[in-house]
Amino acid sequence: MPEVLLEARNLKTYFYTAKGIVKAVDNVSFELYKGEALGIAGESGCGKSTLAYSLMRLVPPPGKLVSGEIIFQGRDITKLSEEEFRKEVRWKGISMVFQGAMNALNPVYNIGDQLAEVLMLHQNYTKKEALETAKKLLEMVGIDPSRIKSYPHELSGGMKQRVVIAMALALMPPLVIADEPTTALDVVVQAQVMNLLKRLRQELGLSVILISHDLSLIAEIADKIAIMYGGKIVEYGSSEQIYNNPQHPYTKSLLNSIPRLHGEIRDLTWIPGVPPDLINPPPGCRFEPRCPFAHDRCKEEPPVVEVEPGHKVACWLFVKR
Amino acid sequence: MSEEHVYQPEITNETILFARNLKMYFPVRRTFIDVLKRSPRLTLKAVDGVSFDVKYGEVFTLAGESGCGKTTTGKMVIRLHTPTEGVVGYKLSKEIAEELGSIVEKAKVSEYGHVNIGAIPFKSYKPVRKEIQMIWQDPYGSLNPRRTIYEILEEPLAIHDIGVSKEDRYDVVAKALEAVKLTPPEDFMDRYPHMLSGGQRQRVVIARALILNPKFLVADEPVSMLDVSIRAEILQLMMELKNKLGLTYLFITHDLAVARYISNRLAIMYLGKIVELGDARRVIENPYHPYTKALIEAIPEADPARRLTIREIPIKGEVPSPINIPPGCRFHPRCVALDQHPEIKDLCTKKEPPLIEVEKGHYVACWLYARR
Repeated sequence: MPEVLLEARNLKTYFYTAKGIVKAVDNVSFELYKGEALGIAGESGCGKSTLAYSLMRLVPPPGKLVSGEIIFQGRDITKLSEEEFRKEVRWKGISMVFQGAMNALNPVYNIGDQLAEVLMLHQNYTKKEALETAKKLLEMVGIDPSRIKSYPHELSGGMKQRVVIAMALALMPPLVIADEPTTALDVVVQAQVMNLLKRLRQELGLSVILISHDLSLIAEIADKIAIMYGGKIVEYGSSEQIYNNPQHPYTKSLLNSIPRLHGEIRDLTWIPGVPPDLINPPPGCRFEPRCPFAHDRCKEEPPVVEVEPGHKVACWLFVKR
Repeated sequence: MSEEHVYQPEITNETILFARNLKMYFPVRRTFIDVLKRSPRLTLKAVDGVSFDVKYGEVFTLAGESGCGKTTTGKMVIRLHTPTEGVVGYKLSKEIAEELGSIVEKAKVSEYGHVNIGAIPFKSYKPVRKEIQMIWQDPYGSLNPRRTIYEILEEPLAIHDIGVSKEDRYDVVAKALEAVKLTPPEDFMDRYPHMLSGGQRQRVVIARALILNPKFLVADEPVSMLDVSIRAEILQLMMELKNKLGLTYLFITHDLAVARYISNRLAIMYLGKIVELGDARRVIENPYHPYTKALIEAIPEADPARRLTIREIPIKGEVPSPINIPPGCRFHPRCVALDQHPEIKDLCTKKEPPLIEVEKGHYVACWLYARR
């Protein structure tokens, strides 16, 4: 039995805005085993990025992690003080490749200095040692170490992305969260970045959480997949279970809306309507207003049903009467 | 093998638009130091000799990575750029041709009545804009946040003097909103763009493009900023409108899977040139050019087996700058086929390959297939 690296229990992250409480992450639980890759998929505004920020304790105000536990390497990291969290968990335990990472680099520092800063702050390296390690990191992500003095504007988009990945790996954390790591990259570069992530997983035994709205991208790396809708996980299972045997109506429509490159061209379907307003989410199942199979019971919160081992669905259709 | 057939845009009565050897060069700004040092003037060759033809009712797609010149080509078609060289020939409808009068004769470039868009003087160009419109990529940036949807849609009508009274225009706007399925239209007219979802905004962008009853639409990545789950909806809407209103699309995208679903013919661009052109499904299912092959190999697919292997993408390095385009075949520094076929290396590095026919209607610019 593989070891559980991270376990989230009943996470709730709410944003207290002037208009009301936005329940961006509402009672989310999942487990991540060591060396595993978890893909979190959903439309924009479903709370997937907020979930990632919650794990890093970086939810911007007025957002707040209201309740829930995050057990990482055997201890609840929500209970740590900010100081302890920063010293022991953030970047050392869990690091993150941010969305739009191409713009996450500081334009006035060269990439070597930016990489070295992480090492000097966390590991108390001298500048010289830090730069040496930075070179190794660059080599690991496939950038010629002689580019260490380059400024971000001198690098292509794909290279900047690699630098940001190198930065996330600087302290060799066991878990890396990648939030839409390839948006704004061309397909060829995207494939190269995904290959890099796959290779690093094999070489370093890294666990990865990949967040994306694109299920075809998630298929490239994820062993387990969580489908999020309206702040909740509506379906969770292994990659094979989700792609080959989707159960939740939302997952099915999401998969049917992807244009495929091979095979027969059948009409694409889409999901009518708009994602729910998370201030006043529909009572019961949040997908109910857009669901083709909605019926009376959907006005109540659906229970989570295990349809096959490890494959969980939150939908009334699977509850035996 | 019979006579080799080099691609020429097909110009017939069926052709609504063609491009012949289109080029768009931008001068690179020189700094004061550059002038002092007398360093040479540089040009950025965004589009470097592109030819294609679009038939009535067709969806013709230009695809390629960022920086390949596909958007610049689209902008030349709607004349936001006047080409450095080459011709965009467009067949104007009768009314517009009459409105332009004698200018049409001067700008004529074919026996079928196509006019060179770039030869129409700017001060008389306005009527042509009614015919050729654009759907923009970013529904978040292309709508003025300080105007209501009604104001956004009314503006083109005011500019082109359509509808005398306010009521007339109101009706036109209401119809346009209905056409893109934003119903009931009254609900949307007084809203501001930020009150709409991404998909609804893109519908407004489409409504704005259609409000002048154009015949030809340039759609620049119309769905790339949208969630996958609503892309299909917008694409479906665009296809419905095309059939209903008899439109022709020049579709610009980087997403070949989308291109396969909606286009009739497809041209793959690389660094300002078309490297492969043909029936969309044939090009994707049976690509010839090494670049097209790499591009198709790189596209992720929703197949869980993909995660188990690292995929080899048959391409090297990165896209060179369009200021220093490699000599010969511009793809040769990244080409994997070149390493496997040393016999053509000389040609590839020295001479630009012609776009030749390899199957009926399927053209490729690569020395592997051209007669050497």
